[in-house]
Amino acid sequence: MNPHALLATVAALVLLPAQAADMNKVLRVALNAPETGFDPAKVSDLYSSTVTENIFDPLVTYDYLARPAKLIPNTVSALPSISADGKVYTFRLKPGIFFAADPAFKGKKRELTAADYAYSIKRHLDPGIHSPWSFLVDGRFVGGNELVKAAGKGALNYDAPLEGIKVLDKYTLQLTLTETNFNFLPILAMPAFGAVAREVIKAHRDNTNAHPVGTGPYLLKEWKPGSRIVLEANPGFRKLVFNATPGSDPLDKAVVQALQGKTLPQVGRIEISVIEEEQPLWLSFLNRQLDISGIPQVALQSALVIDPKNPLKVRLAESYARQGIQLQRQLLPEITFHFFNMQDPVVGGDSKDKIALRRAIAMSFPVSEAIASIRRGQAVPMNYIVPPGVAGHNPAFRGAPKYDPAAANALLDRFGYRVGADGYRTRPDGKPLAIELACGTSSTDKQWNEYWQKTFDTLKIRLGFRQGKWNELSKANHQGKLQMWGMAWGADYPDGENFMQLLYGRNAGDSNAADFKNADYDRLFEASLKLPHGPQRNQLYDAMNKIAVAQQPWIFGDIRMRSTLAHSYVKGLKLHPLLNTSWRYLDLQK
Amino acid sequence: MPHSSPPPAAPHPHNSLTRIGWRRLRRDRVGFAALCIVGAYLLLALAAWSGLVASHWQDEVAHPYAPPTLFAGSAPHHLELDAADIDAADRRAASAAAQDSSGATGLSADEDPLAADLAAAEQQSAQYRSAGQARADSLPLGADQRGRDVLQKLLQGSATSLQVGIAGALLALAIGTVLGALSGYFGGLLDDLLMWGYSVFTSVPDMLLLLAFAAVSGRGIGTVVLVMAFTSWTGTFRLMRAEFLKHKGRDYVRAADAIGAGHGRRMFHHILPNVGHLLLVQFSMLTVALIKYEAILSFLGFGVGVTQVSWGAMLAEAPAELLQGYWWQMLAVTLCMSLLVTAFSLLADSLRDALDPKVK
Repeated sequence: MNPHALLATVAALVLLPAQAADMNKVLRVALNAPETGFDPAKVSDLYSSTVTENIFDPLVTYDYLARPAKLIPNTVSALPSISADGKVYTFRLKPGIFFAADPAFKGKKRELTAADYAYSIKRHLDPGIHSPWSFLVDGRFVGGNELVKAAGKGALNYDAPLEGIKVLDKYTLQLTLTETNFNFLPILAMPAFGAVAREVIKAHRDNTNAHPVGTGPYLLKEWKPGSRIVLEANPGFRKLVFNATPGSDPLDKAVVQALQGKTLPQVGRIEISVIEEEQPLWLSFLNRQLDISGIPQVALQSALVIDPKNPLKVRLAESYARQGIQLQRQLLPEITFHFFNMQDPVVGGDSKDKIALRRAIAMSFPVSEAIASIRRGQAVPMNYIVPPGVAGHNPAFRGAPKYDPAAANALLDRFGYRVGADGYRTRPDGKPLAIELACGTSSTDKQWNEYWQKTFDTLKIRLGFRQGKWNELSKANHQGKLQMWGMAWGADYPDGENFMQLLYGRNAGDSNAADFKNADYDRLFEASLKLPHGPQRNQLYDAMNKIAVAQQPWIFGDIRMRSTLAHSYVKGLKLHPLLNTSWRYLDLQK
Repeated sequence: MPHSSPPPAAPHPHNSLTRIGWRRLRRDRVGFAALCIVGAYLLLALAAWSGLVASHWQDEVAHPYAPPTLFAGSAPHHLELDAADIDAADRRAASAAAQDSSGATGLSADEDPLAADLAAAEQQSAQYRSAGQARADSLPLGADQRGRDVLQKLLQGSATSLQVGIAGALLALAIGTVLGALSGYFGGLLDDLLMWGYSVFTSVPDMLLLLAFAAVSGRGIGTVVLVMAFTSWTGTFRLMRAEFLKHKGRDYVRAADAIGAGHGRRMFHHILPNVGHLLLVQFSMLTVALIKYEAILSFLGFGVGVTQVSWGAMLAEAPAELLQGYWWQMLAVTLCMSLLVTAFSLLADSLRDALDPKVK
């Protein structure tokens, strides 16, 4: 962290809970896609996580203002002590934190204890739950594998002693990892690892997704799936006072000025609508029916004045700036890419002719043109598996092949993909060549598909589209039935490991959607796990990136720049690279 | 022996219903104009199918959203970035990063299994290189996001929409007529069964049925035609059932029975020609309805794929364009579609009048 970075601390005084939130302050926001539910161990989509983040408390969280993102204690009194070998993490919980009221507690106040965190973390190991986050915890904790094996396909025995996740006393939790890992803490800051109460899960075991009960600043008041979610300030939330010293950044100064000394949260009610279409979303924001919104692709040019020399340098259009609308921008800690199914008989495999086919397709996809026309310049080409802003990124590495469809055609000729009588190429063994690309059904998907069609037309390869809903395609991919598909991966925690694991052989079929299995890559990845962030690990990451570039399991896409707008009366807003929302820090001064 | 041969019978004027109808239609000015318009559309569609016009509709011939020539001055001017802008910005960022660290890195030639082949391919790539085409600043009807000519898309789209409308209507008519004929002619258990089927189909809202069929089948013109035929045969079925019920007891059918005509011959040789005029009217009404359905399906993303274009697919691009002030594609499609749909409806009206045997 550089010396000028400001030090912001959120002082938490354990006093009697004081309801500070003003129930008349209603924040209205929208999600672009339907949520799936609110059980932290069952959901992994961004939309559900925006809600669970505000209901459940993880052990640690991020400082609101500090950049790069900095971990701070949340329900613990200090960051955990980590043993010298990087294996034992010990957490001390703050006493006096209580769960929101629920009939499962039978009218008693229910205090948050270390056992709740042990239970909540174990849930991700439970084969009966199928947590989408299991790849983060599988094999991590001492004795974890044995416990999971004992459970078979049934429920985990939560009461059996587990060396890796141990409750030392009511407020002390000790995690013991199987391997040295100094980068484990950010994982515990994810909303997925917030504390749930065992009796609530038990009472609502048929539908845990609909009954989120946590210790966080908000509680679920109303839920119409896929349409409307209402959160209300948790009256029993611990007293949390905003206290930060701003640095020189004017945005930080404004945030501190709006919030200093105030009890969080200020907003009493949050109304979340699901609006999937871009146009109504945008019109709702302009009509002040929404307080905060992104800018849809089609409105980018009218809302932003873009500098053609440097498309990422923009300012808000005059008509909006005059209304006092605030613009905040952030390069997302994410990557988008298309992958090949590496086990597929046509596009997969590591023989030179297969690599040549994948390389030719990568060389012919006009990434820059798509950024210009579809993203309106609000993205940068991806060149490294770890995106900027995430530990381990190398800005000097150029991983994307040069756009050159003519050379790509010549390359295919050299490897025997001959153009047949019908004008399309065949495979080297003379069999017909046709590739199927999975995609969604929205109008933006259609724009991308037109570029893909163009790419394959230039290469004279037959292309088919397999349209479907995301979850259907995801299922098909797990069964190895897709040939190509596009994906975006956002940082769950700001460490390169979260991205490099996407091609790790042992995650094949899971987070390694391409089913890429390369012994050298796996060896380097395993070595990198034992190293803290630094030049030594970066060297390994460079070597792994070279393997990915040479083997071409992916076609590198782009990294999006997010533009967020808020009306003038929204105070305290600052986009965070890892927190999904800033709702608890917002104030409305109409 | 002289004998008076009867004067050769003057050829009896062939006053079939069709001929009378045609004469009446010629006299109906509105109906005739509508017929000419529909005919013109059909000719254009034929030309587009056969590749005579608009076969290059996918070529990017103009700048993105190039305006119509007449309105070039008043069209909205947004900055349209191109690939060169993005590449230039990316190069600047890369060179800045390279100065910070030890220099730009990446896969070196000896680490790339394809290095030698790529170098050779570079040498051999001349045959695939083509000079970049100059792009127009304006077009008669403007351009879309990728700089494709809206006029060409419109012609190709009309062909697709007409193809879908006519093929769908014919198929729906065939299903409806055969089932209606069976149901009305034979009655009894078969009639009951078919009526049950009919009731099930009509109890589900049309649009829902359409989307349900579209969701389970793949993409493409063929699917759209099938989906629409399967959902819109019910009107024809009901009509034909009633007609066959009415006609099967008529004298001429009984006479046919008496001289030994089989069921099939009675149904399709004797009764069918007498209800044919109704089918013609049904056909034009169905075509209109199906052209509109196709537009809705494509608008919702269930229609034709990216290698084809239809009016609905063009309209699907309209919301995004209108938000930015690019109105030409929507206006062109709307006008073109309104004209055909109106003409077809008027034609159906006139046909009904012209072919009604009760009107003299």
